[in-house]
Formats: sequence, structure tokens, C-alpha cells
Amino acid sequence: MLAGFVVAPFLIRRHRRVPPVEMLLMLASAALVGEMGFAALLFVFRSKELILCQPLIYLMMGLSVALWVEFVSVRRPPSPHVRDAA
Amino acid sequence: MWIKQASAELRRDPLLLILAGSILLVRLLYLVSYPFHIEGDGETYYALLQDSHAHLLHATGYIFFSLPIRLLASGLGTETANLLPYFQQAFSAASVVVLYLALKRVIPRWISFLVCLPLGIDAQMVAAAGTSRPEFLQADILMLLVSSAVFGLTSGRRREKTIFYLGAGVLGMAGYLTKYNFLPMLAFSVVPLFDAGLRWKPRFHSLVGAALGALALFAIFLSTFHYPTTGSIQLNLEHGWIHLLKLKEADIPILPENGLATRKYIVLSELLPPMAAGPAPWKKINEIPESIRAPFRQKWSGLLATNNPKEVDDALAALPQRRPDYRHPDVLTPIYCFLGLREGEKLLRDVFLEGLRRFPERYLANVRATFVRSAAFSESYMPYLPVPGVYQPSPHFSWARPGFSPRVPAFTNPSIGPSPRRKIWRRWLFRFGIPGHGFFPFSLF
Repeated sequence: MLAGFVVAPFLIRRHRRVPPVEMLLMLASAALVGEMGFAALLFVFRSKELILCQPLIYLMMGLSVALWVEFVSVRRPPSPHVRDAA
Repeated sequence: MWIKQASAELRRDPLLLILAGSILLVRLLYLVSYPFHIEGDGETYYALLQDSHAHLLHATGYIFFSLPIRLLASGLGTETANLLPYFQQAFSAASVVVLYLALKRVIPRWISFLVCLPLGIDAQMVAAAGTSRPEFLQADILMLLVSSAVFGLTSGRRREKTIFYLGAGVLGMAGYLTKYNFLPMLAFSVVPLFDAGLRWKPRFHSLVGAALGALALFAIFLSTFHYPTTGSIQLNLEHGWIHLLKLKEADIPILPENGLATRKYIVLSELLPPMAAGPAPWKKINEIPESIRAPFRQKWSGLLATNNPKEVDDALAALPQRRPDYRHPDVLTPIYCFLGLREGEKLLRDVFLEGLRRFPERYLANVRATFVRSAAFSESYMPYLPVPGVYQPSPHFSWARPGFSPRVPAFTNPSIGPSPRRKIWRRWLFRFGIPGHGFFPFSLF
């Protein structure tokens, strides 16, 4: 889930901007930590909160895998479908 | 045109077909295997939907957005609970498919597929959409919000970006109205600020557009639904209940030494007529008629308003403190009921703050422990499955029965509670493996 953060700085440096995948990973983790913090400040984190967070958890895993795939395939030019859609 | 585009997309992307087919198959299997789950808070939500009524204890975006289904059910001459399960599962499935379509624009298609398939067939997610509770809708709106942000980011045309960012703002508000703990998810509504494809001025314009969309939805919700049915522009007047539960979680006692508000609270909770906790007094601002409240307000408004410690101490000294625990919801409910919702909110907020000021280390230790514990997601993972034949039947029995599976006995139940996860999983897999308990006598299980 958090593995994407290991390679994200290198990819950001390579692109000289924050590409959509890295940005989504940061937003998703901010939202997840925010939800956990919000629940901890006011009450507890229950299965109800987990249902809400479930898409974020899967999303962060997928984004991390995508970042690692891009990182290890460094010599290959990024696919236009993947990178330059923005 | 739209159908042509969709069929062309399906031809180009067989994974999309596999994804949609798998999710629909699993959800169909769930629908024939389990009744629609109406219990606990779900009963309140369902009753509110039947009454087209908002509430000051529960967030009622789920009710508001489900009203078309209730109207459709009414038009078809059937119970809303006969339609809700199908619409809810279909909406959930569609949200996952939309997320897949969005994600594959920024990450490889196969990874997008591997994210969305388990998400779409996750037992907890499927079961959440099989209840009259709002959590499934929050998750669905979150998926649509993320999708809208991604579509905005990856669109080439300015007009499309504007529309998708506006959509992100509206969806952010929809999620918040569905349940207020959606607040941190609004991070995705500010995506236009990070859109490298736009200059700074259009980024701010897009953000303002998203905010205006959100405000428009809020205004519609408030003016057409919430205010007319509750008589209040405040969305929630039940924070005090949560505050006191948090004090209990943090092991912060309610003692006279905490402060003036706490002493007032102890006096009032001892002297007001006892009543069991429940959502009834929060249905609208004046759910308890003024004729009932007036004598209590007249007698106690002076105590509520005073800042004179001696007056409060005298009242406290004159009565025995009989309650073993002043943090129980049964203790705070009479204050909201007999003195008013706003009055209760103000007093309970002060009680909470006094508890925090006196025991800050306990509160902070609890926040830290809760935060760390919440990171162990598997401990919160609980497919909330109704278990036919175990609990008592209720009047909702006939509403919840799937029409095409008459042998399935459908019951609502009080609460399954946190059964051992492994056991729940075994039960879940067992039923699906058979497949579906509906094809076998439920006494087997």
C-alpha cells in the first residue's frame, strides 16, 4: 500500500512534475490518514469507517504497483496511454 | 450514440466485460442468498425513507438520494425494500466499473483490473450494499469522486475538465451529506489545484466551480428536504452523544471536579425523568412538544445559563449522585429530550471539553492508541451478513424476501456482532461454494 512512496520521489524527479499517479497516491493516503485521524479524535475506527476506506486501500495498492512497474521499466519510454493522457 | 460507444469500449477492452460480469455474478449470488438487511440503525434509516424524513441524529443523504427508488416502489405498488437491494447492488457495481474506466487512463489496464475486481466482489463491500445503511453509498460516492477527479485530470479539453471537476465538487458534497465522516475524502475535490494541464487561473476557476456545485447540492438538500422535515438548518444535533462515548473510550470520568458544566450535567441527569436512549427525540427540532418541555425549561433554564459556581454547587450538594456512569447514552438523552436539542448540544460540548482539559493525557493516549489500532484494517473487517434462522423474525420479514427465491427465509436481526472473522469467512465461502444457501434448507447452517 505504501510501497509506492519509495519510488515516487524518483519518478517525480524524472518527470520534473507531479504526475497523476503520484498525486493520486498522495491524495489517497492523505484521505486515509485523515479518516483514521478523524475517527481517532472523535470516536473509534469501526467496520463502518473501513467500508468507506476500502476503495482507498485497494486504490493505494494498485497505484503503488503501477509506480513500481514504471520504476523498474525505467528504460522503456512511458506508454502514451499511461503517462501522457494528461 | 452512448450505447455505440459502450459496445466499442467493450470490444476494445475484454477486461471490462470480465470485470462487470464477475461483479454482477457475485452480487446476484448474494441477492439470491441473503435477505435485505434491515436492523438496528438500518431500521431507523428505512423508516425515515418510508416517511421521506431527514433526521438530526443520523446523516440522511442516503435517504435523500434513495427517494426516487421509494417513489418508484410506490408507483409500482410494492415495498421500497423490494427494490432497494437491486438498485444498491447495481449502483455499487457501476461505481466500481466507472473507477476501472478512470484508473486505466493513468495506470496500466491490468493493474486497474486487479484493483477493481477484488474491490467489486469484496464480501464486506457486497454485504454493505445489502443493508438499509449508508456506508456502502459513501464508498460508492468515493469511487465516483476519485473517478471524476481522474477524468478531469486526464481530459484534454478545458470544457470536459470543468465538467468533471464540477462533478467532483458535487460528489464530495453528496458523500458528506451521506455521512459526515466523509469529510477527509474531500481531498479529492481539490484535484483541480494540482492539474498541471491548466494554468493557475483556470485551476482556481475549476475549484470555485466545484465549490459552487457542492453548495448548490447542499442548498437543494437543505431547502427541499432537511429543513422542511426537521425544522433546523443544523445538519446534526447529536455530537454530545459521540463526545460522551469518546470520554468513555478514553476512560475519562465525569466528576464534579471537571468543571462547572460537568456539575450542571450531573445535577440535570439526576433530576430529569429517566428515559432510554434512542433516536426518537432527534427526528426534528421540536419532536418533543413545547408543552412537555416548557415546565422543565422553566425550572432548569436558570441553572443551565448560570455562571455562578455557588448556585450549581448548592444544587449538586442537595442531591445524591446515584448514577454509576454518567457517560451512558441513557443519562444524556433526557437532557436533549426535556431541555432541547441545542441546549443539550451546548452543555455536552462543554462537558466534553472540561473532561479533555482535566485529563488531556488520557485523551491523547486514547487518540494515539485508536489511530494505531485503526491501521490494522483486518481487525475492523467484518462482512455484515444476515444469518437467516438464527434471529427473531420481524415485520420486515416479508419486505426483505427476494421475490424469485421463495424458499429463502428472510429475517432482520438485531446485530450479528463481531463474530470471529474466520468463522464468518467460512460461512460466506460455504454458502457461495454451494452456491448460495437459498438452494438448501437453512437449517443446515
